[in-house]
Amino acid sequence: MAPPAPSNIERIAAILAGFDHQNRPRPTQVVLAEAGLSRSTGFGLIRALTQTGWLERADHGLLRLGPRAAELSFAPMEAPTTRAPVAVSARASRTPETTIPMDDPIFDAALVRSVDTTAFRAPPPYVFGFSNASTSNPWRRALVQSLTYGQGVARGQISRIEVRDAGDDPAQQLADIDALIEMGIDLLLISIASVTDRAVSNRLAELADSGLPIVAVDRRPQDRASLVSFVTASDQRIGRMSALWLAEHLKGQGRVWMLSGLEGASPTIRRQQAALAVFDAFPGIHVENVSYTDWTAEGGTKAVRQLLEAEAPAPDGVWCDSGLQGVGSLRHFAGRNMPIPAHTGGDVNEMYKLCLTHKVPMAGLDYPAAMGARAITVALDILKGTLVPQRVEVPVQVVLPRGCETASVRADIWAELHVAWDLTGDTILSQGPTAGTGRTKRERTG
Amino acid sequence: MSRGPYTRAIAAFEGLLTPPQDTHIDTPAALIRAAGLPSSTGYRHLTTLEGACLLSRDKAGAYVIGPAALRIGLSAQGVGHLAVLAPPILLRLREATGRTAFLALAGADHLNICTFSTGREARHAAPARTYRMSLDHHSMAEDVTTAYLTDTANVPERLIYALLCPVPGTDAARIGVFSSAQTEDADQIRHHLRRCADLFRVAP
Repeated sequence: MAPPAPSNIERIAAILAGFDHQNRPRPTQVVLAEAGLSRSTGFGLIRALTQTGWLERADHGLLRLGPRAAELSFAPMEAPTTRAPVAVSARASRTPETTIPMDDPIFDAALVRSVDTTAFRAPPPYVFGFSNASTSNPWRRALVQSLTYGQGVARGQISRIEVRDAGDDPAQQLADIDALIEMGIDLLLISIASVTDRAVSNRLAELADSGLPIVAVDRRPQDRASLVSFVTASDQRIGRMSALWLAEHLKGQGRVWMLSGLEGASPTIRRQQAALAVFDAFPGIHVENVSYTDWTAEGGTKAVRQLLEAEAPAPDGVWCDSGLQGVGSLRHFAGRNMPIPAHTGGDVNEMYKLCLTHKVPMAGLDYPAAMGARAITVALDILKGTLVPQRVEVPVQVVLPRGCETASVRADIWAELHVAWDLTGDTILSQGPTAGTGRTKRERTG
Repeated sequence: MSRGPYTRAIAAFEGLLTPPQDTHIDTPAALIRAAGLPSSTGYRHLTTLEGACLLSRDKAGAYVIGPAALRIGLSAQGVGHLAVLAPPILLRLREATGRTAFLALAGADHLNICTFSTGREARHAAPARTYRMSLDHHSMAEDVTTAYLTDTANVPERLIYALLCPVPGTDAARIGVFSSAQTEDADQIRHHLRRCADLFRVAP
């Protein structure tokens, strides 16, 4: 059966996307041919686009993007926050903004390096392979769901995505990669099982040399030379902001236990280093213990139980680099009917449910599982030959319960609005529109 | 007067890509309503635009302009490469200052606000298409300058205070942060703006 004819909306999108970065004029015939338009349809559509300012005639037979297209650049990158906006004013603000020290962001060149991908240009539909490190925790399963959502959005361009689960085993991941290559994939998406494993790293280098585009998502190999792009979120921001919140919440005085994720995993290392650097700046904060939990609730429970059984008094704060283990810690304190110390760590819905139910001061910085869908758009850009960033950072929001803001750490969204009481505890709220039932909160609540 | 199929398609395209400003539209139905489209065709068009990365949804499910639309908008002004470079820098600038950070481009005789990251709480500003800043030596300076933009939709014109920094490698572009006239963290904002401008300088 022949594929359905493209709609006029698809035709408009194809025509406008065909102009280069400098808006160099293009012959009308070339514009029509590239958009796959017949002369009769094409000329009518181009006349309408020209009359409405989306295109303009540069010279006889030449077209370029017009002033209406330029207006697309006036656009928010982020949706407005749910709080009421305050109009900007020429008057001095009355908010205590001058007393708030700024976040110390990392402005480095990696943020703006881009890659010319014209060598990878290929016609759709595409077959992607995804070699996943594992699906051992809810976040990793949410990543796959987000990827699937991205595939659904771009279903006209992607014929299928083959997914393999390495179960955190580098040897299995190596076999998975070879199996995906056998299937004739156009692009490999990978989340590395072990950053230090040389065999997988070497195999990726060979594949990159042979011309296969590779995009890492969430976890990358130590040597990033084989990658076209890496889709991630700022682990430093998660570690730094959560530690800063905890130190300020404790007014610079107190005992802290640190529950990290998977020993040796790159996000664990980066979050922990960033947090320790912040705690070092507060002489009254004493880090008594650093435990590894494998990013599981059981790991969090075990670490806290062992520390309490060693007759250590309960700490003033528990720093978790994720709620995946944070829920285990919270459950253990709650189960022993002990006062629950302040916690950090977002990601899972249950973390927010427990903290709000037990009125535990907390700061959540969700590591966005929505990076799966973002990786799909980056992969599509690569195969279209578009300039792509070498490193794509998906934003991380600060989630705090009302009344838990500190001098430096302000909420992007209140935990009371972020939590989804109608969804299960293991729901990952940062996976975007696919969280829970695939509907947004407003859609769920009507 | 009835409209032809191409004009109708263009109207639908415009309606879906330019929803009312500063609104939080997080359902397909709401966006389709805002665009004034019937449901059946609206859903179909929405899927097409998302698939082409002209529209995307943030983590909360709210619709925002997609990377492909930003690329088209900036390409129309001859600086399409900024569509890759500017967003991460504007996002970092917002994270650092909490304020609305924006990219602006020089038009014939004024600066136009382009894409922006949205500031938080009292630092949130909702730029309007009608914001204008006259071009003079002040606004074209080589370092961070303070500037007043005017909101030309308001009579008498409202003044909007901003800090602006030139983007190396292009005569037309500026990055800026909306502020208030007497903010005491202006020096820190200037410092961040200079560091951001350096990033444009090192970019290929």
